Amino acid sequence: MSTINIQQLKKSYQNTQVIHGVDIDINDGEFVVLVGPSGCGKSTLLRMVAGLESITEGEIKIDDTVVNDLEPKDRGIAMVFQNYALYPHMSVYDNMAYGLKLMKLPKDEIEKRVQDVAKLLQIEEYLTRRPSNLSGGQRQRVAMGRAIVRNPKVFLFDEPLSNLDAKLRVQMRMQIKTLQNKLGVTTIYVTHDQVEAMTMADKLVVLKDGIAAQIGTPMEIYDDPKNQFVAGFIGSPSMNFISCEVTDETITIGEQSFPRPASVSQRGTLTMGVRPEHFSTDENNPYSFSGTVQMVEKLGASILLYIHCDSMEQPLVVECENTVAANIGDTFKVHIDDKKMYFFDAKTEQRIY
Amino acid sequence: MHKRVHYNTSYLPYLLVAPQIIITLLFFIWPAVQALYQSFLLEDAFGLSTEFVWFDNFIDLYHSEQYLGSFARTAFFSVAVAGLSMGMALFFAALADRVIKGSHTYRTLLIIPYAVAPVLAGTLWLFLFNPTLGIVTYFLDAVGIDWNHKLNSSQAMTLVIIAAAWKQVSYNFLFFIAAMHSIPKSLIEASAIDGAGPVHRFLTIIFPLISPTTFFLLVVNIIYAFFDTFGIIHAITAGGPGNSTEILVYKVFNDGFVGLDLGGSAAQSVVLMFIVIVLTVVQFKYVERKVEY
Repeated sequence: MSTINIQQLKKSYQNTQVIHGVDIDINDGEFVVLVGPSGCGKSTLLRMVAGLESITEGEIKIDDTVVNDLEPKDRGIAMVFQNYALYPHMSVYDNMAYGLKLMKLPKDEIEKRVQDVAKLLQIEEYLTRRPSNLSGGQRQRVAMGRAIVRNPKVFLFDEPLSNLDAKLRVQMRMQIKTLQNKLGVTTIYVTHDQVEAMTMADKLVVLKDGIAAQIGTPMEIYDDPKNQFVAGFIGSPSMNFISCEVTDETITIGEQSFPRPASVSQRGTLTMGVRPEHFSTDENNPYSFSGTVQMVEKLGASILLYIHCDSMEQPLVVECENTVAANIGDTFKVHIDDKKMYFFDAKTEQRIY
Repeated sequence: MHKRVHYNTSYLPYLLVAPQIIITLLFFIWPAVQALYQSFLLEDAFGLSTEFVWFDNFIDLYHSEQYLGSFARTAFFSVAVAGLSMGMALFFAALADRVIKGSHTYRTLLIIPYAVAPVLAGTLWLFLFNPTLGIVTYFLDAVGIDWNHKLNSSQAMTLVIIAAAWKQVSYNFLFFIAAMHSIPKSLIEASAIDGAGPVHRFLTIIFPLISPTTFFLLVVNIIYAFFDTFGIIHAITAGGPGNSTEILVYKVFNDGFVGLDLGGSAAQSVVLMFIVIVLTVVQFKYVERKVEY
């Protein structure tokens, strides 16, 4: 049960700075997901919390204690690694008991704790096996068991599901979240998968190039992205970005002009953002485009259309119901819901409306 | 799946393996057969008369106290050399694994002894420990140890062990450091988080995980101590004082080329050959199996 405060955290390797001052406050029992593309510094950040990387500048506090100079073992953390990092020469039981033995707990206490956690994770029958005789999902559970059994103040997960196949990943995602809820342990979870991030997080931290681009609940970030990067990164498929020219009366996209939405007061070149799922079917909607269907992706529950419009460089991605009949080469008319448009400054890429 | 290329010509594969086979035949099989044949012969010192005596040479060896003594000496010598050189190498490798700055220089310096020829290595240590001129002898004298390996047999043995082990440290070091590098870093990190200090980490994680390498090196080092230390011993003690540093391979030379008992010497080398064969079989059988977890 603990809180974590990260203040102005910076990290440099020789001359390259990889983390440029990140502030995050994590409440007790919160599930925080760090998400971002590769190279954004999310793993480095996690490893700094773990104590596996030194801190160049700034402060990390766990329960109001500055842990900057504490050894990993003294921080009260447990970590689950991407490749699980199970000790290959030990049985599952010994893997889980390793840390407890180092804590010099009595033997029956160790036995009890390992058994309890094994029961919780349903790995009791594998306790005598070596990790090499386990499947990916089982190894994953053992790795979590090793973390849980130590009763840490904080769980750290470093892309723990990325080595699993898609179906197992969804299962484990749910299990981890349920388990964390049950145990109530403050958790930091690193992933590059925005679906994982959205579904698991209480609080989402979107990182880009060593900067926290936005911090908030998943829904806040989805509904109210602060900049173009976050808008494009969160949500699947990605938001469409359309360059447009705004004057006093009109908003011009390519050759087409539409009345200026009342909320947009800045003039000049802006970037308009529309999520694929926010196109409307309302025939009377003034914001409509025609284009040819370039590609159709049938997802089952819905269909993705890639529509090429003359006025845009990139094809528009539109998500529609699976009853829509469209073939490659067809002309298709789409309507943008004017209540769900986002506008970004073309230069700073910050969201303005 | 293996992709195989098929050639229509039937002689090409034979041509390609021919050099290897010729070398093996010429330098391994032929001398081995010669030695085997020689070990059944009894020759006079001038090589004028030869008699086929079947296993008499071997029976003589079995009853020779000197030979059995040499056997025990060799066993002690090889265990000591393997232990010392592997221990030192493991220690250095464990340290080098943690070095961040200048690790390349450190490693390069550690590898140099391997490039020194055995006789030179022996001479080097001979100078250091020379009873009258040696610098180490001088310091030993200062702490009250009277060093004279030309008279003191246990000192002589100590010296050849040190010299032989020193030369092998580099080789072992290379293998150990490579093995340590192949351990995923996250395992070490996981154990650090679990609360293990550097020493405990080494003992419970690193050492067990490099055990296949350790076993491999143990066999290699024993073979080295048995066979490749001739030059060192020849340079330092020439088997003396008395017979105190006369290991098996040195006795083969001494009896054959100094004592001119060619049959007995050949019989000894045949015994050595079987030892090597056994060690090699052991190595192939167990190393392969122990590698996988």
